[in-house]
Amino acid sequence: MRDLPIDEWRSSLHSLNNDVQRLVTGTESEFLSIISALQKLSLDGNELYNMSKSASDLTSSGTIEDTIDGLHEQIANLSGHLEECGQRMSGSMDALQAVGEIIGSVRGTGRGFKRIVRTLRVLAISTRIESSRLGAGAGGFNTLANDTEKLAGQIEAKHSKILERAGELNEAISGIISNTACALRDQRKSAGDILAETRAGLKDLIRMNRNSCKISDDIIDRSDNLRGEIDKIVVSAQFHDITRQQMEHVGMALTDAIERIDSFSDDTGGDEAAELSAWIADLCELEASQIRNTREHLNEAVNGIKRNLSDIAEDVAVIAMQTREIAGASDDSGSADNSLIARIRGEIENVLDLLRRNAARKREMKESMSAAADTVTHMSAFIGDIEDIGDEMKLIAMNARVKAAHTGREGEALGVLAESIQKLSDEARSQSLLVSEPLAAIAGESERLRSITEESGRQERADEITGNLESIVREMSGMEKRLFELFDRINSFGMSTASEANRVAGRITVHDTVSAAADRIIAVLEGISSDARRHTSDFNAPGRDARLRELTRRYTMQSERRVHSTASGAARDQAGTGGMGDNVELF
Amino acid sequence: MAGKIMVVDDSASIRQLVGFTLKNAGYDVVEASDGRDAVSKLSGNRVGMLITDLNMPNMDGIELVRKVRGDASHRFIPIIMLTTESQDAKKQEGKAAGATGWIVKPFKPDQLLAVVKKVFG
Repeated sequence: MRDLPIDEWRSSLHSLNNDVQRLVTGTESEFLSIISALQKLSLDGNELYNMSKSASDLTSSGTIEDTIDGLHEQIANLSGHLEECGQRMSGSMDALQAVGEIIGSVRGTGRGFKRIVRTLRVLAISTRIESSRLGAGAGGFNTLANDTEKLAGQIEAKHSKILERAGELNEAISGIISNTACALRDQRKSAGDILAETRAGLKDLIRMNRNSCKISDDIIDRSDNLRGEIDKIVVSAQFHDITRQQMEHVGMALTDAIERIDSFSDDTGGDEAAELSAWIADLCELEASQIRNTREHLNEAVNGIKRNLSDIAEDVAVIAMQTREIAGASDDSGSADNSLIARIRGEIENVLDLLRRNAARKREMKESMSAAADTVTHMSAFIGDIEDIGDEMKLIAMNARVKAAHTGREGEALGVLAESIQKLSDEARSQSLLVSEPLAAIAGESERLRSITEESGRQERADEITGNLESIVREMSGMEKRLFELFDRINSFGMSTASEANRVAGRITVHDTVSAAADRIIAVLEGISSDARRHTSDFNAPGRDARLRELTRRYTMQSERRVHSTASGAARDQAGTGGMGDNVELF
Repeated sequence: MAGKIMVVDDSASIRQLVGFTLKNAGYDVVEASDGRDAVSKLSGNRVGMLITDLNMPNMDGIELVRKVRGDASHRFIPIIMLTTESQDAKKQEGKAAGATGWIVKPFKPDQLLAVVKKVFG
């Protein structure tokens, strides 16, 4: 057997042993880097889960249910309040129209007063003529003429003021009627539109609330998946240590082979040379199988890690996306301005605007009605003045009659004039009544209007609704702020975590390195085995079983023994464990 | 804190993976790179449980178990062997030395935690 290529085998096995040692030590840093990334991904995954849960809790917890209930209650209150306001406005319109009609009747009294004034002036002229005719003996009648003239002027002035005020009042009432009608129309339309939109928003909010519960469950499921993927990576990453030990065992076998070759000498007999060749052939074949098995398991584990990392990236991205869906923000641009909460808040703001406009209108109406009532009061004072003038006319007439009686037969004409003045004073009183009665009616209506306006101007209920709605808006704004801060964090965190998971997965090359090295080692081992087998082709290998048994001593792993059994055709080792899994045994 | 567990393995990756699993479950973890390092660190730590590899340089897992069982302050702590070794003879050796249980690598996190919970709490 001098032709055994001992030196060649020794050299190849030495070289292989070095390659195996490099494989044992060369992969640890990459696995440590994967484990370090895994630890960060796990922490990030927990953080992301907590943030997503907080976002889900914010929208699905009692806060949103309380908000929905609160909004329902306030919308019902508002609806009732606006209905009452509308009824009061209608009542005001009726009263205002009645006042307008009465003012018309006051303005119709002009002719009667003009006639009184004209007659008084004629009487004043007649008195002066008669006084001139009587000469010096009737000096006091000039005073009577002047008083009569003066009374005519006073009645004319007062009545003119009454008509002027009646005109102003009429204009004011027309304005109030027009404004009230307009406000009533606007309020009914706005209130209808806004309340309908707010109610629709509430329905969306309820839908969102239900949806958020479902999405929340999905997030929890996906987070469980994420934890499951991380657990799988923990299992796969242990194959670094398993591979290391298997390669160490291969290294030990190669060292044994080198030692045995070293102990072989040229003087050794032919049977021993054949036995060495058979042993080398078996050993190289078995170790090639072990390395092939190790390579396959490592490839499977590392590809599993890459797949799990990609799944983590997908889970994280989906969690970030689902969280955004919770607030209904994903349908639009994803910005806070388009969120459902923002839309509802906008609708509540519209309701608040409606209430504010309503309050402003009430203030305006109250001021207008107050001004109208003041005008009526002024007009009533003028009526009093005219009545006083009537009384004065009566006194003047009595005085004239006394003077006429003193004057004797020549003063009879003046007595007639005095009698006319007396009659005119009665007529002036009657004309005053024609004005004062409607004015009293206006004053009555005005009081009724003032009371309606006062009642509808009471802001307590509206203020309460406004306060409650503002509080809900503040609460929703606060919730929205917290929610969108969370969304921003989840989004940037989720994206960076997903990107990191993909980056880590993309950078893993350890399996390729190991596979390439393993393929080279396997090829050389198979070459040596084949070469050694040629030198043992007619050798019966009587000690083969013992040799194979000897080789199994260094195996510590079930998988190594299984590979050995398969490669050598030996019976399988059926080791089994029970308890908490096949690989666990508690003593 | 649920308790302090010492993880002994010459493989840094395994120490990190076991530590990561235990820390996530709330345990405090002390690492040692072999049996000798573990014995040295045990004296300064109130460790309630030990998880050790079998084959390590300087002092192997079986020897470590014997040392710990001989130390009055740690005599009764649970010791789990976490190893690639699956031969029954080795298990019996570990059991005889005083190990509480035997887990063959690779472990699943849930499985490891179930064992820890059962023997340590």
